[in-house]
Amino acid sequence: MSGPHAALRVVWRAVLLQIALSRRRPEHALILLIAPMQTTTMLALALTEDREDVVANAVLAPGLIGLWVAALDYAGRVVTEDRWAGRFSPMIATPVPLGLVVAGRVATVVLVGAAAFAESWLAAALAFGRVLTVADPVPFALAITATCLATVGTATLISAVFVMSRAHEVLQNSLGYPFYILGGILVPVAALPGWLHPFSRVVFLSWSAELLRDTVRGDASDWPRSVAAVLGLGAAAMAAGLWLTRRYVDRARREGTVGHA
Amino acid sequence: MRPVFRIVRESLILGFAEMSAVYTWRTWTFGWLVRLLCQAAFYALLGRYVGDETTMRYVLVGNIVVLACLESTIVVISLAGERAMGTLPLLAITPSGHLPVYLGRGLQWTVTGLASSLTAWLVLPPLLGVPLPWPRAAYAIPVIVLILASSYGYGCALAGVALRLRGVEWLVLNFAYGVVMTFGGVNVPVDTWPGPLRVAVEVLPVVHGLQAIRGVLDGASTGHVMGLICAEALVGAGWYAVAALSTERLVSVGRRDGGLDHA
Repeated sequence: MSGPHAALRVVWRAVLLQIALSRRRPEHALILLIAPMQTTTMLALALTEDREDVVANAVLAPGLIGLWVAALDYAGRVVTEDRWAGRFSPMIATPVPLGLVVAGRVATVVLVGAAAFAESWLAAALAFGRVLTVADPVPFALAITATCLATVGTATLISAVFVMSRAHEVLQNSLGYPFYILGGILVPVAALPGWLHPFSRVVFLSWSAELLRDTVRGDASDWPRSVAAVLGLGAAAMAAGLWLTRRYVDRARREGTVGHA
Repeated sequence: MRPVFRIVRESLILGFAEMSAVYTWRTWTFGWLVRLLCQAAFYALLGRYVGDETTMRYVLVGNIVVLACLESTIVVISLAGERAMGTLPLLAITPSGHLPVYLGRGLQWTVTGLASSLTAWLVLPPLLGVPLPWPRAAYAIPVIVLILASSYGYGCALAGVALRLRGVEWLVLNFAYGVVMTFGGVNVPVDTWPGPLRVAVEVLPVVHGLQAIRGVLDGASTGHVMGLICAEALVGAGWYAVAALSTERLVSVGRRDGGLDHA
């Protein structure tokens, strides 16, 4: 296989495979069940305290949580589930890099997670009469796109780490809320203790959350820098994920452990 | 009573053996427990961000107590796992009867739930700068145990749905817990919601028990607190009754049509 066209074909086939698999797994739509409840919780708390200025935080946060849940809970398990379901051996016997297949499948799941943004917006409008408008639509659209791409990159890395780790269930269960705090998805990083700030800056969610809130309020003068940071962190995660996946596949082939990998 | 105690003992041994396939005590403590503490801290930080320290303490107390409900309702996954493994019929033919065995399948989550919520109760308030009024806060601990029990009954009742519909156990679990977390007075008082919703949440676990805990912390009268505790116990008993009826029906129909192993 060579050339970008062939690579895109592989990714597209991977997308179709994931759609076929997810249709039989209702839990892949879990985030769509959770998002309206999270919006309700966060918005009720903000409005009870008469904080109209926090409405944007409360509407955007469930969308970001949706992306992270998609990356962590479903996309991250792609290869692990293939191993259990016996799809792993035929998949790596095909003459295409497994990393591309994983990336395509991860992208499908992440798109479902991104629907949480729309759901959250709808929940705020219908249940609380708060219609969130976007002051800077173009930077906002770019921010959402960059965030989705960074999520795909991060999920590819998570998938590779899970497949190589013996404690992937522990990691999967543990990496949600610590990252919601670090990512400043609801409470801005500036309001967190100072010693957490350096850690927050290497989590793409922190740049995304700030950027999305700023574009909604029309206060995103420095948006190219933030978009670049989100894309840079996502690309680094994707590169690491693809490298780890290739390394894992090579090792499994070399040691003859593909069948019981 | 002795067979029941034996079932409880064996269920706990089985449950913890299952858990040990996933967690060691280190990964449970530094992975799962830290995640739960972060969950409570996440909402508490929002409380302080939108309000003041009083709001933060209100939200923190709610989110610590609701951890007991979160863990107890994981029984949904344990029971659905029996069906997935094809062991549901084996449990149904135990000499002691299927009901105590089925309802005991997630007991380990009540133990870990107690450990998590008590750790959070002790650690988080001083850590986040909103200490609880001790020794009054100690009187809340038996109420947390009651909430664990009522939430476990709620989880067992909703497991009936997960046992009948394939592949929905995570949806059922998250819905069950999410409804309590959203509408049960955890982050905002129940009277924030419109009338019909306010009436509906009266049948949820946690709601009355959490109000009792807030009463204990605020120095409310013993009569008021006891009334709320009785309401929580009543709600829990109701959910156990629903769980018993649902399980009974599942097994009797399964025996008749032979569909218990793929119910």
